[in-house]
Amino acid sequence: MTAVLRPVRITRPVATGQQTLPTTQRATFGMLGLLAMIAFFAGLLVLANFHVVVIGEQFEFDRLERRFEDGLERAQVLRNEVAKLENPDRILRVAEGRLGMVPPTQRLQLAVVLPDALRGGLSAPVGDPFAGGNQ
Amino acid sequence: MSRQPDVTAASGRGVTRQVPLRETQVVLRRRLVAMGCLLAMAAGLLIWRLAVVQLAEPDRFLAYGESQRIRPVELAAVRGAIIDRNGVDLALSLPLPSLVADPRLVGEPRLAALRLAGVLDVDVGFLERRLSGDSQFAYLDRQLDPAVAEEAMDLGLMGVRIEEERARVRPGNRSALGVLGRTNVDSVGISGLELVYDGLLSGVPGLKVIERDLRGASIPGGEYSVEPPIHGRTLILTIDRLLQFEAERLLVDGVERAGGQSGILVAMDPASGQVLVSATVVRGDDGVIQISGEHRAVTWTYEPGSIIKPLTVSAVLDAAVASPDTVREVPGRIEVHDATFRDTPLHDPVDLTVSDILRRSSNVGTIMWASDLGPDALHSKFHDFGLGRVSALEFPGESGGSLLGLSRWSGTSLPTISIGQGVATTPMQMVTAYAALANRGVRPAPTLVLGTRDDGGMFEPQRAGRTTTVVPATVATEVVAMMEGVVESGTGTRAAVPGYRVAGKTGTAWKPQPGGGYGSDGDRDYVASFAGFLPADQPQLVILVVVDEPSSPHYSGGRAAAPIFSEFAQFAVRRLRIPSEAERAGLEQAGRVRAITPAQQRLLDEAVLELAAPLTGG
Repeated sequence: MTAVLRPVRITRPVATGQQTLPTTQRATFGMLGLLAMIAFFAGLLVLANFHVVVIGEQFEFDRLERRFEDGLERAQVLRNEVAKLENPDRILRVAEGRLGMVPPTQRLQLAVVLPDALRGGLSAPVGDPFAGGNQ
Repeated sequence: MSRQPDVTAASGRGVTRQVPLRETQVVLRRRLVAMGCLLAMAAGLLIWRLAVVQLAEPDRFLAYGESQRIRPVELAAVRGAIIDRNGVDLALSLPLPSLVADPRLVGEPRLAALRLAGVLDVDVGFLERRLSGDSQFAYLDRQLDPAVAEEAMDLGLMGVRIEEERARVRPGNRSALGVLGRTNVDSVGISGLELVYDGLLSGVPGLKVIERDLRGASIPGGEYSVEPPIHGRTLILTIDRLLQFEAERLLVDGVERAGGQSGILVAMDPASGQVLVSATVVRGDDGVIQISGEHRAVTWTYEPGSIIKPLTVSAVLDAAVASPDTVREVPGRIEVHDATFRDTPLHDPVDLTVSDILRRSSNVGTIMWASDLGPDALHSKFHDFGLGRVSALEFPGESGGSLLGLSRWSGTSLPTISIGQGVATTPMQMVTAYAALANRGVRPAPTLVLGTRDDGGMFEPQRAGRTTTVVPATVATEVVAMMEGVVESGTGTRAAVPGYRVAGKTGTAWKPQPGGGYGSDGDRDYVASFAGFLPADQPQLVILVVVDEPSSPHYSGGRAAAPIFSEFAQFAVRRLRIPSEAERAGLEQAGRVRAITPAQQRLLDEAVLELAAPLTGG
């Protein structure tokens, strides 16, 4: 023999007009709830976004800090490079070796003699005397 | 009665058993109660644990958490640079790669060591030992050339990596090494100025406290505080890099020419006592002359010989025992107690003025006048000139020389010391004594440092040392005039500088033998020197050149040291813009053309406008 299960019918109490809220009031509460929920999630979104911005800025700050330190170290390295390039020993080796220059056997100092009209002294150059022409 | 259907369950084909509802509910209830108890126990455990964590030992766990997230990092202070008087870098601190290893990760230490030894200049055995250790960290080679480090990394060895650390470098290689000194591998000064000014150069490390996540990135809004490091101050020397280089170059050539063992050149501004050059070269075991790492100008003492005679003569003149023109008969040799002193070359008795005695560098004449002066006055004057005591440099290992106290003088001390034997001085003491003569009798305090500068560029000058008046200006002027004669027509003609008046004195001292005494004729060692300054009437540069153990026939000061003086002085006057006699005379000539810079022109124009403008206001 097979037992048959029948669905149980649950009878709900019938709402009367005095026990339930008016329709307009229910709609207002629903709307408020909805707005509160939207505000809550919007707040969460703003907070999350704020965190993203803060994290991004923090990364940027860290990156700039590293770059600053690297820049300082690079400046030191370049400073050393400049000092090495200016080293008279290196210049002498290049001049005598690669360029084939030789020290002068005798040094002469040439005197400049100008006509009487210019005896008051030479005035300072105007503009950049080393500037190129029309090139 | 419930309207719920009876629960039936199949327990086999065609067999059914009915479970009573009451029994099922009881079982369910028991299970629910058991589950509830279990959950309550679990919750209780959690609450208990929470209470322990939060209430009983909060500090411990707080510290544990912080130790994982917050790490204080020491911010190393960069060691200050050493620069010359013109701002040229002489010593710098740079980040250089060091090769390190985690030996636990290295698979085959022997093989790895062999491969690394092909790149690094390190012994294979040493590398193998380092790579076979039990530690997690081992240095393989420190402060490498970046290219070498990269080459080592290209080998792709497991457990080998690069770490950067600050290293001290000298762009000028060994130039002025003795003055600058050295640092150890941890950038701590161990000699020279690096040691003297280590406190100022080192700076103070800072501290950075930062909250980091697992990946090492800083946590936004987390703990963050920085106490910045105070970087080391920049040390500004009085040395001129270019003059230093030229001095070293000329010294190497000069010492080679003279067949000497070492050479020293010191140049000083007589007015301020600033040392512009302090060069030392030595002949190595391989016979090659190279720049020394020792600052011998202050650590090495020698018997100066005849270059001390101007000091003796200035003492004689100061005591009014004689004047430059006072004449006396000077024999070729003189006996004092049991010792015989003679002139070279030997001569018959001859009438010589004090000036002549200095010009000819007569030992006998100097001894005779020093005897008239007496030991007290001579000793006192030498002491005033700075002999026998350390200078104001405060350089590590500086020697004070040796000037015996009067109570220890024997009968031959006066004649011996008056001609520069039996007294030991450092080259720095001698050049400072000559600076006193050049500076109209006022002895400056020698200095190697102009001052220091902080990170912001604020300059703090070095406190000036005390000057001492040793002889009156008139006496100094008279002695300088006599010394001019030495270069014009005396023993120091090779020190002449074309276009300039030079005052100086040669010295050819016997060198004490290790066993005592000075050896015999033909078997002596010498120290040749020349000290002088220019222009003689307005000295701006004092130079001392010493050549140790020059070989014959160039052993005299006039032959071994004076030419180096001349060559260096010719370079220095151009570098320091010291006008020649002709140039100084030319300044007053009407036909001379003077070029002026735009800045000078602007000042001139403004001055003219100001003079032309009518006076206004009250």
